[in-house]
Amino acid sequence: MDSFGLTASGLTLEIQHRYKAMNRFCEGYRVELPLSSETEAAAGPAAIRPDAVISVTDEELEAERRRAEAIGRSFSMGYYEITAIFRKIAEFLPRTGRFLMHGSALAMDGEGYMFTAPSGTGKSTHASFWRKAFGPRVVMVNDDKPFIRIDAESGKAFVSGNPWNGKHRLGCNAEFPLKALCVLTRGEENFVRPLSREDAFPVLLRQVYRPSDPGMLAATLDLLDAFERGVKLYTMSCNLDPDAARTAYEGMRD
Amino acid sequence: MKLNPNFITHMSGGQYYVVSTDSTAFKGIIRGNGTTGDIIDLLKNEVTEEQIVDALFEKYDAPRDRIAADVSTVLTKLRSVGAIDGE
Repeated sequence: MDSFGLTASGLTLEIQHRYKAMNRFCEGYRVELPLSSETEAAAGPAAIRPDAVISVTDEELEAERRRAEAIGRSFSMGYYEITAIFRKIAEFLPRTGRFLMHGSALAMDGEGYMFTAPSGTGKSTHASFWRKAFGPRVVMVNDDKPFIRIDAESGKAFVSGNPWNGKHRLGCNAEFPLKALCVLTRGEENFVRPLSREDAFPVLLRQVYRPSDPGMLAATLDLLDAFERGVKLYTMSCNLDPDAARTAYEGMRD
Repeated sequence: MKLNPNFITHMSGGQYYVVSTDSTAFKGIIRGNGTTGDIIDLLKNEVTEEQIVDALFEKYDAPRDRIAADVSTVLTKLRSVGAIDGE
């Protein structure tokens, strides 16, 4: 079993893993930890101590394999370990005022914008239109499953990257204040309108990770309520015209 | 009968939500109004259908048979997704 430190969203997690694929997958998010009492003593006060230790059992790996098999897919054990560890992290996040949401997140001029929708609607395509329209003003934060942190004091929401950022590996190891979230739907014309918290809640509920522990699920829903209070909410009908990015930005930036 | 502990309730924007953890087969969400919320609150402790009807009849100014029908509808829905343990 090997270990390394993973940083994301202000957390440091010790990842204990069996397969080398985990190391490569987390490139850009790794940090050295003191992994033994000797090295910790040597590092002194500067030693980074993890917020949690994340590891998976044989049974949890087997559960990932069965999930894949149930949909007719088959992957390497290294892949199953990457998925199982992510699931463990997602289960842990609500303890720290964080949760995981399915969506594409970017930052424009240092402010975060996130797009969510069922798979296949066009979140990643829409995010690519922003990169095309606004060039270096845009940074991809996470194109698939960003972490959301709710600051307990201010109630503000922050979006950050992590290694699980989609098949094109678009993202960065940074955190940005989240200004707005937009629920995308496919439509003929591009238009944006505000979305009420009442209308948004059931939609967003379908896009957040639901922990298997009832207490953590309850904490996630409380965080989602706080998220809705801290972020401007919109819905956008969008087509595959790259101008959709400018329409979205103009509609959400104020 | 009682609410399955893997189903939690949450109120947001005046709506009651019944949401299951990732460990259940049901992956949807149940939404309801105040009456649904009352029923779900009662199901947090061991209770019979008759006791639920009694409690709502005490609270609401409506015919008992209509309350009983509403309770039956909500319980049937909750049972269909595995949200209720016991009879």
